[in-house]
Amino acid sequence: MNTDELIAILARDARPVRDGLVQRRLATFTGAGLCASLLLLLAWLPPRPDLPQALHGTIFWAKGAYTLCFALVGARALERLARPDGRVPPGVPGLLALAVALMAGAAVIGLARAAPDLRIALWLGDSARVCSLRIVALAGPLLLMTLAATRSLAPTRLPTAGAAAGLLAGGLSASVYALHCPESAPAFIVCWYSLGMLSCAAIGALVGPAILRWR
Amino acid sequence: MTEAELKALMLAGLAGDAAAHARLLAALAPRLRAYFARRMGANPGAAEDLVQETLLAIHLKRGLFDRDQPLMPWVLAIARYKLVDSWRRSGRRKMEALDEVDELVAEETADGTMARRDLRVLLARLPRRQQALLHDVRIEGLSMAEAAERHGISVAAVKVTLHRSLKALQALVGVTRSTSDGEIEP
Repeated sequence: MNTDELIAILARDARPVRDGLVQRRLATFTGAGLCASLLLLLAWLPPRPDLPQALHGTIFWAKGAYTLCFALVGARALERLARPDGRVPPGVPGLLALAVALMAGAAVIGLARAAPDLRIALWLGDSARVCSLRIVALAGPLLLMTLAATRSLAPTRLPTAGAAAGLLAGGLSASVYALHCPESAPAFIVCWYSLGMLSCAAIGALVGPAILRWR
Repeated sequence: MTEAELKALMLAGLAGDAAAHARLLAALAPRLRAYFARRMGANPGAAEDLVQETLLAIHLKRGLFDRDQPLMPWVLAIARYKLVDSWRRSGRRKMEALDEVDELVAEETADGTMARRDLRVLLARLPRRQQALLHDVRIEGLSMAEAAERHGISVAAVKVTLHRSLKALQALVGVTRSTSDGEIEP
C-alpha cells in the first residue's frame, strides 16, 4: 500500500497552523470548567458570610495563593504533557513542594503559638470532615473539561498527564471552595485543602490511561 | 537530512507551505519504516500501517509541535505511542476482527478507475457526516470545536470521525493504486 499517496493527500491539507494551540485549547476548556464549578458552588453552598471583610484580610489571599499555586503547577505541567514529547517541566515539582513547605511552616508556627488544648480545633476547624470531599466534588466539572482538553491534544504519558489535569482541576476547585469556606488556620489548609487537591490529581492519574487515549 | 533541515521543513509546513510539508512527510517515512521494522520484525504489513498512522498523526497533530523544541523527539514520541497502542490493541481479538471487516469493505469498494483518485470523487464515497466534517474542518477551516457545535456532536466525535475519514480515504486510495497508476491532480 501506498504511503506516497497518503503523503500527497496530507500535503494538500497543509493549511497554515497558528502557534499556541495547546494553550488556547487548555484555556478554553478550563475556563468553561471553572464557570461550571462556580455555578455548582452557587447552587450548592452559600458564600462565606464575611466574604467582603475577608477580601481585605491577608489570610483569604494567602489561602488563594496556595490553592492557585497548585492550579498553576498543574497547568504548567499539563501544557507540556498534552504534547507527544512532553515531560514534567523542571522546577514545577519544586514549586509545589515550596508552596506546601511554606504553608506547613505557617501551620507549625500557628500550632506552636496556640494553647495546647486548642491545637486540635485549629487542625480540624469546623469542617474537616467535609472539606476535602467538597473540593473533589466541585472539581468534577473542571476535571472533565481538563481531561477532555488533554485528550483532544496528544498526550503520551497518560497517568502523568491525567495527574496534571487533576491538579489543575483540584487547585481551581479549592480556590472556588474558598469563597464558601471560612477556615483560616494554616494547619487546616495544609492538611484538608491539600488532601482534596491531591485527591483530584490521584483521580486524574487513575483515569488518565483509560480516558486520555487518542487515535 | 539533518534534524535542522527536517525542522525547517516542519516550520515551513506549519506556515502553510504544502511542498515543504510533503517533503517532510516523505523524509520521515523511511525513518519511521526503519523504526517500526526494528520493533515489529516479521510483520512488514503491520509496520507499514503504523508508518501511515504515524504520518497521519504527525499531520493531524502538527499544531502541537512546540516550535522551540527539536522535531525528531516529537516525531519519535508519536511513533512510540502508536507502537504501544498497536500492541495494546493487538491484544484484543475484537479489534482484530474489526480491522478485518475494514479490509473487506475496502476491497469491496476497490473496483477502481482513474477518476476515483480525484479527491472529490474519493470524498463522495465517504459517509455523509464524514464528508460534511471534512469539508467544514479541512476546507472551510472551522476549528474542531466549531465543527462539533455545528453538527451537534462532541469534539472527540469530530476528531474520531475525521480520523476515520482520512483512514477511509487512505484505504480507498491504497486499493485503487494497484489497479491504475494515474497521477493525483494537484
